[in-house]
Amino acid sequence: MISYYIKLAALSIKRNPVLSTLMMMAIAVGIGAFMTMLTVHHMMSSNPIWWRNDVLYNVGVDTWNPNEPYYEDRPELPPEQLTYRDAKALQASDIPTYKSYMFKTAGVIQPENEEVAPFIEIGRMAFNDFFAMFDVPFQYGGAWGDSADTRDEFVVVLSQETNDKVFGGENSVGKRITIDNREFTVTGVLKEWRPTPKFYDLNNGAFGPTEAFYMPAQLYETVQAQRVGNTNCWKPEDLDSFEAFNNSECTWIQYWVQLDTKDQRERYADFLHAYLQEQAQLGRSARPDQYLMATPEEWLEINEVVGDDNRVLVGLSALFLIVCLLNTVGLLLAKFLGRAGDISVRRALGASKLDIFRQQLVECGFIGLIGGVIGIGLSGFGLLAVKKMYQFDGSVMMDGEMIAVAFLTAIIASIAAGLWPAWQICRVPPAGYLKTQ
Amino acid sequence: MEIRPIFSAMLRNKTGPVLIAVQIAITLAIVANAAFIIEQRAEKMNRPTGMDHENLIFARSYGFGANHDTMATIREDIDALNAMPGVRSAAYITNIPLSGSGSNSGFLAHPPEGENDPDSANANYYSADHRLMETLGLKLAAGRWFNPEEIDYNPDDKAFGALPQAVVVTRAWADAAFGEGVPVVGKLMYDSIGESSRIIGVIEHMQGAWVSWDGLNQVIMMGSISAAHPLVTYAINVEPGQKDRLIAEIEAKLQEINRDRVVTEVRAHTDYIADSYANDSAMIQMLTAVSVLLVAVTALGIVGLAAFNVNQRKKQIGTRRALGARRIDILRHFLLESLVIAGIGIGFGIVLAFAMSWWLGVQFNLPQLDWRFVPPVILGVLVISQLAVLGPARRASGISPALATRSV
Amino acid sequence: MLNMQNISKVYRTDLVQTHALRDFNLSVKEGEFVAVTGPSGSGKTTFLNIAGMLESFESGTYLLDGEDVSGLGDDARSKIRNEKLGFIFQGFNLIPDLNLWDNVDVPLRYRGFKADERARRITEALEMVGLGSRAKHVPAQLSGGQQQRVAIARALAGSPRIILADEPTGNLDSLMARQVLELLENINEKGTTIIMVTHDPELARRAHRNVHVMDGQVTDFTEFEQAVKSREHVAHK
Repeated sequence: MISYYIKLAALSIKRNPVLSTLMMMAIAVGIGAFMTMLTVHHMMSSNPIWWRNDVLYNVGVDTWNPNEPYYEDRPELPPEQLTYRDAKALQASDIPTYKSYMFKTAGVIQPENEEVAPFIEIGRMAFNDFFAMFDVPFQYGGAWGDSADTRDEFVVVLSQETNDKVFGGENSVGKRITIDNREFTVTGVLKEWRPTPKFYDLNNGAFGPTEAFYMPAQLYETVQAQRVGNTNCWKPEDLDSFEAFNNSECTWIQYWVQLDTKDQRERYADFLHAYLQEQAQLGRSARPDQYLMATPEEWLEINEVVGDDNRVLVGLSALFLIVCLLNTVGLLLAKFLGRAGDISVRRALGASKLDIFRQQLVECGFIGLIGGVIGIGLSGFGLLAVKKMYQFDGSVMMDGEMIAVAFLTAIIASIAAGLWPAWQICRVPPAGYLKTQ
Repeated sequence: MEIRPIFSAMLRNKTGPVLIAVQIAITLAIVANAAFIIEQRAEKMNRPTGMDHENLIFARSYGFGANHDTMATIREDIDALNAMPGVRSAAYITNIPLSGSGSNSGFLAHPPEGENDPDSANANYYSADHRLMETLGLKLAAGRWFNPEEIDYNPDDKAFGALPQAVVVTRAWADAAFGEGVPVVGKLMYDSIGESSRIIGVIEHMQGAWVSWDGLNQVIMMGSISAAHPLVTYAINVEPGQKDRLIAEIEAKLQEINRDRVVTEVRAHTDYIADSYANDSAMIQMLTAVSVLLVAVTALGIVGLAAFNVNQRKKQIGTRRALGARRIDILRHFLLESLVIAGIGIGFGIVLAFAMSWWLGVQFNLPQLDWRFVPPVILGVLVISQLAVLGPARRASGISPALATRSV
Repeated sequence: MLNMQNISKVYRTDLVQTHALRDFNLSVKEGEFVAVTGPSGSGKTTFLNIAGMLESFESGTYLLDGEDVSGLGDDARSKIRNEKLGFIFQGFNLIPDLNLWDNVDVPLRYRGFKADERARRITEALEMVGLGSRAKHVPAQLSGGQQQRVAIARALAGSPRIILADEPTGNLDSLMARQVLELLENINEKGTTIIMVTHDPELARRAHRNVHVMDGQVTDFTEFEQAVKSREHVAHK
């Protein structure tokens, strides 16, 4: 019977092309706008490392200004980054399965090929646990060995783009690359890796690009590497030299650990508490109860990655979709009532109310489906515009989930819009419209 | 005219008019709130920068060679840039104003008392040379700008430079630190560890680094050039209309002077500003798009319903015509009917608009809707609802009276 | 076949009550061809709507094919309309956007027949009314008489026990009216009961029996021997 209804729906759409087109466009525009905003929201609110969400933790310890909290509106939170002293101290703990402090640096890459001009890139200093912890995919080679985390070894991991640029995309493991006038040996090349949002370091834009190269954090003092992320200081103190800065209370380092078991987590919490207590006793500003172990999901939430603007737009576009649907209800009502005569005939020939009701709903679903398809097309354009407007790195596209949501929304919405008109029309008395035509 | 029969007709056939009224109400509420938010964002984006940003280009140089001499490079580069045709003035600065990156610290009108002196007033601070005022197009409210001999050269490899001998501050910072309108030229200002510097001039107005920061107008210019960082920045003021050409030429020129560095981010100041306001302008564009679509969809709904009504009432209209109604009477009937529906929609829409604004305020801390945004939107909705019904109404008025005697 | 006893039907609006039928009694035997006549507003259309289970009634009993159908719900009435009754209307009431084949298909779809069964019945019905070759045409391409023949095919396709015809020739010129009437007579001869409402005495005379309705009641029963005769006369021509 469903195929019969679909055939009738197609006929009916052909019979009222203007009205049907208006309805489809109303649904398409509504779905298009709503799905554009929802996809942006979905992307902003997605957890790019969801499969490790229960073992990864961002670590924070509060050694901030004793006189005012870091976040005025959330005084219970420690600063989002660590001081160099704290980061080094935490790295000494052997409780976590993996642990790494990390920060952004910059360097000029000087390819041996004279034709490629030197170029400046943002890199990251970290421990080799960084790659294991975040499941970073390698195209060639792998992370540097453990020894490079304790002794100076000039080794580097390149992003796919850097490897393409410098080595033409070939396997460069073991080759040498000059960065800021020093020679490094390549140990690995990543596959394309673009966690969105860039959960492990949300400074300077949560949707920015990932780094072009990765070096052992061990080398930071040896090469006196540039720091290019955010630095926040509160204490009036001498910051005039590299060493002075490293001993300061300025926060600028991200810290992540992997804690696989409940026992590890409890022990690590105790460890952080004890560390802060010890620091307080040493006379530093430290709040022993203010440490943070946040899963990636909690971390994204704390950092308010999803902007209020985006939430407002999702809400408004949902209202817009509702207006489009109310419109469709009106148009459907007009269309159905214009067909009351046919419905009377069908009723007289033995169609039950339910038959008629179903027939109308199939038609609504059909219109919704077409509207949904057009709407997905429209949101494709919408997303292109959004990408340009927000200057997102990487692609802003609907994933399978969003496309499914779009279709479902379109069909459910148009069926919901069709319920009232279909109910009205199936109540047309069978004898009502037969006499005159 | 005949309002009562219109009401009774609507009461008999409620659904269509109710749908339209609800659409009008939601449209009014959204458009009023959107217009209000758009206006606020536009206001934010249109604040005066205090700079000649339309004619400014910034360029950066990152030195990496073993023999790279940052201080020498700065001198050479600035001389070369100033000699380029089309360049009015080029100068040294540590960061790009309104770019979203910069340095900020608290400074005081007196030596600090204790670790966190509450009198401390935050400022974005930049190192500047003697040409920067002219280059950025800053206007002084008092005092003067740096002489070349007043610029401190800081050649060491220091992370943060100490205070120079002289600074120029914005009026906004002076007001925050010294008090509203207090003359500050010739006075000393202090940093948090008690070092001091003499204020030699006051900038009328200038914006600093972060567009959403409430201390945006609090800026301090330090008379110093620092080689502490291999990344240096140049501000370049060019003749109007020369920007595009010069962006390419400047990059080539700098590269040619010295190859032990990378020349990067040679961009128009307006591009940096656009980036900083990207979220705001995206919000404006998207709210505009949603509002326009909303009005269009609602207008189409009104057309659809009116067309349907005209079709349904053909015979009735014919009968009225046969009984002596003029074309204008029929036209007026439909216009009036639409007016009544729009009126009801607008009534609910006003309530909804303020409810929505209240909710946005609670949820997102947005300011409350200014009532002055409502009347223009009401007027717009009325005009559009009348225009939308005009087509079908004219068709109705063209229905022949002879229709009354025919069975349809 | 059809037996109505003391049927009453009242139409109510806010202000007026109209007794469309009052203690209406009628019995039709299997295979009969009954004409129901009466002036406008006499209740003959109401009678037909009730007989066709398109409308409900206030009181009385209605036996159709031996089954009491008085208190049935909407779905059950739809099922009976679909399986036992065939309708022919004055205005043909074909569905304009369906072609002839699909129009005849409508009741069969709701009957739930399989595709091959439907195809067989549609072909047969269209052949019977002489339009087998025009199955793909839409109603607007046909003359009024042809349209009414399609309506008859549609009524026949489900092999109904009774065909209810409401002024079947009212919108047709006399030549076409005669063709349609002959078709109905043929159908009747094959055993299908026909009840036809008409205000045309000419037409009524050709039925087996004529029932006159006045003010919602049956006032007159006459067996028209002549009708049978004249039909034979036509048949011999």
